[in-house]
Amino acid sequence: MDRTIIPIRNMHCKSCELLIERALLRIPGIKSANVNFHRSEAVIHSHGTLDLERVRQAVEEAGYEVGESEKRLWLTRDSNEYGYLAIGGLLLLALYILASRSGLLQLSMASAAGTDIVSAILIGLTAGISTCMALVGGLVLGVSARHAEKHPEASVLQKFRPHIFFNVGRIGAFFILGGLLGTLGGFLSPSAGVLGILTMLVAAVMLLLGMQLTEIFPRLNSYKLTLPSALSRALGISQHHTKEYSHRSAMTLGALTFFLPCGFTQLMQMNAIASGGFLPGGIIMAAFAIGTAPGLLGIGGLTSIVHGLGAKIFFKTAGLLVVAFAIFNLTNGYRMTGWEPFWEMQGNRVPTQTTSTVEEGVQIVRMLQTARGYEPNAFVVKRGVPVRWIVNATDPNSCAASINFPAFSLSKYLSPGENIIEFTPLQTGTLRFSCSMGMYPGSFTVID
Amino acid sequence: MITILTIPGIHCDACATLIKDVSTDFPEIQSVAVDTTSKRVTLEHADGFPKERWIDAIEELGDTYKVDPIS
Repeated sequence: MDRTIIPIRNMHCKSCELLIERALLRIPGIKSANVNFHRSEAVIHSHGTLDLERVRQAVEEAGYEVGESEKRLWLTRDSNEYGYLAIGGLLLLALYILASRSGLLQLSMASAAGTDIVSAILIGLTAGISTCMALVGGLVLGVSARHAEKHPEASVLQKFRPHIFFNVGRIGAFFILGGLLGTLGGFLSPSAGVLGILTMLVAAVMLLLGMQLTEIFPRLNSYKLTLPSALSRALGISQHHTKEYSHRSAMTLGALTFFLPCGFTQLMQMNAIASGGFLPGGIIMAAFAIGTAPGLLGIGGLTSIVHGLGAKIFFKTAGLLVVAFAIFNLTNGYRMTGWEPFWEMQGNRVPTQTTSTVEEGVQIVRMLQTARGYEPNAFVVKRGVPVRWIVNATDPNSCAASINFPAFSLSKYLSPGENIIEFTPLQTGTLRFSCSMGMYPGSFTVID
Repeated sequence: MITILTIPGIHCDACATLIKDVSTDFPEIQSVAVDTTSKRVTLEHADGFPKERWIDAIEELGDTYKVDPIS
């Protein structure tokens, strides 16, 4: 019995494998044929020498070609793809205008102040369609749309089920970890720098997923994200392609979103710490996660129902949106680390700087916190003189209420009214701060 | 005679070709039309076409090709 491996091009699914296997088995002398579209090859067992010319004929009659796959292009030459991309871009622009007109981008829940369950759910609802949507939703959209695009044969339920498990895992983890925060305090809070790097890593994953979704860069589609094998075993995700998804991994992924630094999530975590008990802390976090579920399930639901031409445009739009979210999160994560923003280095953006007033040897700086960030947000202070930074917080339920000052390793949740932060700058240069998600920035310029 | 069946797992042209290919094993079948969007297979065949045997042959291909029992 001879064993021959024939490379075959243009296969894309299980049906292609079966089709070629059937065609090959009709050739006299061939005892078995095993075709694998992932490896683009056929393994043939035959009696005597294999008639390669007949194999080639059979493969071509079935609509495929014998030969190694070519390297895929970096940029697609299919002009239709660009057309759909343009439509997607316009749709996204329309969505953006709609969102900013309706005030969705500057949402806050000033009216629902408090830490009871109802307001936790309300804040969750808000987060689920705003900041958490940009981070967690972006990730969900990227992963699920990519999955739906690759598996068009899956039924609506098959595509939607992972989202239910994802949210169940998320709510469960929020309850348990929220409870732990309530009992043990802020032991689970990594530093802003760590969160910043985490955000950028997630953003990088989103960037790749988003670009794959647009189908404009065929070469990128050969890159599959695989976790290190030890980690994927621990999460219950096997490397084998038939097991690329499991309910357990969807739940684990949902649970891990506890650590994604979406502004509102951190705000609720502060509330859970303040609650001082397992049950109240857990309930606050779980209620918040339940609140975010409609937004996250909605975005997941969309990816499971689209099909046909609508799907083509949807995936393009989703791809662009995920890329936009990725860039947003990349800059946010970068700001959280407190590093010098390279896009502002040449001094191409000089913010209007406010100087401090000096009283009794202390430099006094006043800043207003609103749902839109900080005003003013650029200050000039003198080196070596103590600074009293008075932050008047007006909106405790916006993400700007959680402030981050990496130079002095300060992470603080602003209480409504005046918050006083005192520090002494010892070196000239720029000290940056931002809200804990990195969305709203500000800086102190220290001079001699 | 015409028989229309739904196979929800159909998703591409290769599936369509595969179903047509299996159908060639049945001399009673005169023509096969597969619509990949509606997932519908339209068979034109002579009387005495062994429908159950055809369904078995299709379903033997794999789990993807379950023939919808309602149709």
